[in-house]
Amino acid sequence: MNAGKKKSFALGLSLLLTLAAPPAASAQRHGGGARAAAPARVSAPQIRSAAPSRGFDLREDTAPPLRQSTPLRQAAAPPQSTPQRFAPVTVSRQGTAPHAPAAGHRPALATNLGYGGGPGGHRIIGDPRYHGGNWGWNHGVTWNPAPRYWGGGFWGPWALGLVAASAFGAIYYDDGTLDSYQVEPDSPGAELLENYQLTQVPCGPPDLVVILGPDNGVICADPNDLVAAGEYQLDPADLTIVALDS
Amino acid sequence: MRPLCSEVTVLSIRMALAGAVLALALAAAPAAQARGTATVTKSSGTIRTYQNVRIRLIGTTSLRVTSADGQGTLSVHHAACSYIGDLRRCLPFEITLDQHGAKHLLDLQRGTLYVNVTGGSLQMPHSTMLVPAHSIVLSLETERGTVISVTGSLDGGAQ
Repeated sequence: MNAGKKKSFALGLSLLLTLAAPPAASAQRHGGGARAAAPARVSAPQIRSAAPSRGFDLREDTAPPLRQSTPLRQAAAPPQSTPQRFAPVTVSRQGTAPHAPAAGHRPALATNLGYGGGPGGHRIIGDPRYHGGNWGWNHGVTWNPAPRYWGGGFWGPWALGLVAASAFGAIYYDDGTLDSYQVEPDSPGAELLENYQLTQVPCGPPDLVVILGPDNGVICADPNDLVAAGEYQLDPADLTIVALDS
Repeated sequence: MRPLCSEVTVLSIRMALAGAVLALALAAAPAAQARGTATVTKSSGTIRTYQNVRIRLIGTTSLRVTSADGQGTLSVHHAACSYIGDLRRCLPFEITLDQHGAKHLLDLQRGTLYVNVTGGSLQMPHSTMLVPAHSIVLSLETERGTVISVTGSLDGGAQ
């Protein structure tokens, strides 16, 4: 009787240990197994499980504590486009760009497919693909630029300061230079190019389509039947582009 | 003798089953509570894994990751959200750590957040990795070279 109890208890205990083992192994795999298998990147990683009741160990990355009264929520709100970001620019070869639309301003006479009359007689080219109103191209969700990223992230997840290696020409203005970078596939910018059937090329040469996007992100493309050479301001709400030199 | 032996056998089987049920219950408990996993890889090579973190979307511009002990919360503020198919991709631009009664601003360099609010798994772009239903995949890098990765299911449903 006693022997039988001991045997069954041992069996239960061994089963318990067996079943309890996978989560630990899984944690090991998730936490560092993959990295440990790549010694070229990190030599001899020290894998540790988090100590309980300590939160996250990010001591090296934490700046001095912010004051509790600091309105973090307000500071963290996604930035709205400011007029400065879309300020009219002066192009050396074209003179002053007349009456570029301010941030968030949608030309009232924008038309889809083809050319229409915008404020001040600017040519407006509506997105040839989407006709569903604002943000229809983005599942109806408002797109806001993200600081720290070139062009607010419209053309790809390129962090400012890390994109120099992928420079794709530049546009030279009287008051400065705007560098351009390659548009990432699957980005909103790539969708814009696809919708207008444009092919991106490095900025610099004359007679290109120059599109000024959010946060001074600029890209260039070869002209085609839909978009003639010239400078355009992008309205990210409906991917309309407005000619600045007409 | 024979009846006693049978009795012992039956008892042993019952106890073994009880042990198995207990083991299953213990093994299942963490899984039921599990929300996600956060991994912090420091530039020194040190890796820390935090299991059972709570992941919450706050509106459409903020994500909160709370440690299992509730002592630390990472708030990731993001924007530039766009869609790759049904998979939402956003760019984090600010991250704060609320811990031990103080808020710290981390020096974020870059990152990417994928959010799947659908009921099925979605494939990440340029990857064979799948983002499960109602889950997120987040990767951040700080100016100091610390990489913070978070994967897991959303708490309370996605918005």
